[in-house]
Amino acid sequence: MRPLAAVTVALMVAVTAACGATGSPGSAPVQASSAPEASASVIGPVAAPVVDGAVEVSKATVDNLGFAPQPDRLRVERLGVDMEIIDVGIAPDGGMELPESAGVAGWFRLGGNPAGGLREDQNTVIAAHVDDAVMGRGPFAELRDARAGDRIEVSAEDGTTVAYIVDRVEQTSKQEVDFSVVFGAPDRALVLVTCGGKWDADVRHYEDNVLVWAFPEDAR
Amino acid sequence: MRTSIMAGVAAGTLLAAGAAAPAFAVEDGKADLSVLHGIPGLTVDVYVNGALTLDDFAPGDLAGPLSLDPGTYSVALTASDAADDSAPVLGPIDLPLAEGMSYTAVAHLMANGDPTATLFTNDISETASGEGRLTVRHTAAAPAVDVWADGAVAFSSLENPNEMMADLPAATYEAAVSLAGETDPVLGPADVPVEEGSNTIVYAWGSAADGNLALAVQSVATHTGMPAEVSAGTQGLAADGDAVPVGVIVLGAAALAAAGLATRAVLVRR
Repeated sequence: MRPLAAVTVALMVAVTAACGATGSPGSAPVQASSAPEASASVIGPVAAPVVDGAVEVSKATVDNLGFAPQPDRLRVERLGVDMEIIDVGIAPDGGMELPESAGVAGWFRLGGNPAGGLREDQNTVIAAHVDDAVMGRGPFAELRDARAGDRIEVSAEDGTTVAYIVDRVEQTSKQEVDFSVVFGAPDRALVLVTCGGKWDADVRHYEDNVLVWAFPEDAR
Repeated sequence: MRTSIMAGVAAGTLLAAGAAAPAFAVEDGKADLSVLHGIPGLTVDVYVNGALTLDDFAPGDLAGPLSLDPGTYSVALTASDAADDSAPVLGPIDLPLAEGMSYTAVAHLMANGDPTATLFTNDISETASGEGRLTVRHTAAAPAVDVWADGAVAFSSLENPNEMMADLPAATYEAAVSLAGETDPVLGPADVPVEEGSNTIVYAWGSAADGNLALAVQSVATHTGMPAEVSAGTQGLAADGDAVPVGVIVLGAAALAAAGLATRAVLVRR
């Protein structure tokens, strides 16, 4: 553990995270549970062209382009979360764009989409401010009370709904969150992200990210 | 647990270097191949390296994308009732596929009406924020064409078997194809969506002489950037209070009590 601590301290000095660069980088899972399991039940890509009938064929029409309807509503009934979703991208500073209001969630449009689409295997990331100056604490302030088994529903603009089941909640120092996994892993997870932990009044940022990891209900 | 912490430290090191790792559109170590059938009136079987891979592949059909090991693949098209690939109607041709690339192999007519096959490389480089890519490919037995988008010529004098492309603001465009220099559409207009982080590829195929020109479309994901952080709080109202130094608690409470939320809102950016 001692070499690890040394590395972490060095990292604290090197990183200037926008959400609080000072303080302990300690990582404290709110709840711990099993590792992601969804990939086991997903049929992998075809490994060679010499295959029997496994190649997807469709008419090359606009209707079959593979664009999926955007998510527009997020519900976590047990936590009283029921909020609008809008699509967001990458902000000029390299962070994830977020809706200004803590009452609105942002879906990262260049990642996974619960309804499928060109990146159907990639994780879906939905984030929101934990608070704002107008409404105070937002719905995502409840996320740290999520627990394994909670049901999350994501509805799309075409009226369809995909359900996810919470696997675990993590509260991790922002310097230690592996966003290449959060955004890039082909695990079909839904990851709800907000801020938490200690508030650094000097830089007006929280020190941790709270991440809720959930997997499609129909994959369990 | 220690392993995952180390992984986090490694990722943090990347952030410290200012590099947010991109998300690649093609699986690591693989090549993506789609196959488009653009020869009218001819349902075929497709053999790859001698094995039947696509059965009863019909005109206008799009197969894939297949995630393949890099290498050179031999492809032959036969009549749909052939027992093997010993008497191909097209090919065999070699398709050299390089790692990390995206391809579409198109069976189509040359400008003079003879069947051929063309291996196109799909541009999957990252698009700018808010933009998507539109690619147009002339694979029809027809002279040079102009491709229109929303009533204006977007690509002019495109000839078989060439392609042109542009990055455009993500939107749905009304696309049409005319013979070069003319205004009456020979194809379309048709609504073609162009989305951020993807390359929408439009093909003109068929034969002008036979009156069966048609449009085919596909879309492939491009590489994308990924956020390096999520900074998702502005007020400190949801903070863990128990471990904060006493001074901070006092200051925070005083600020809340004395200034009030409305005043604080003025002070806060965004």
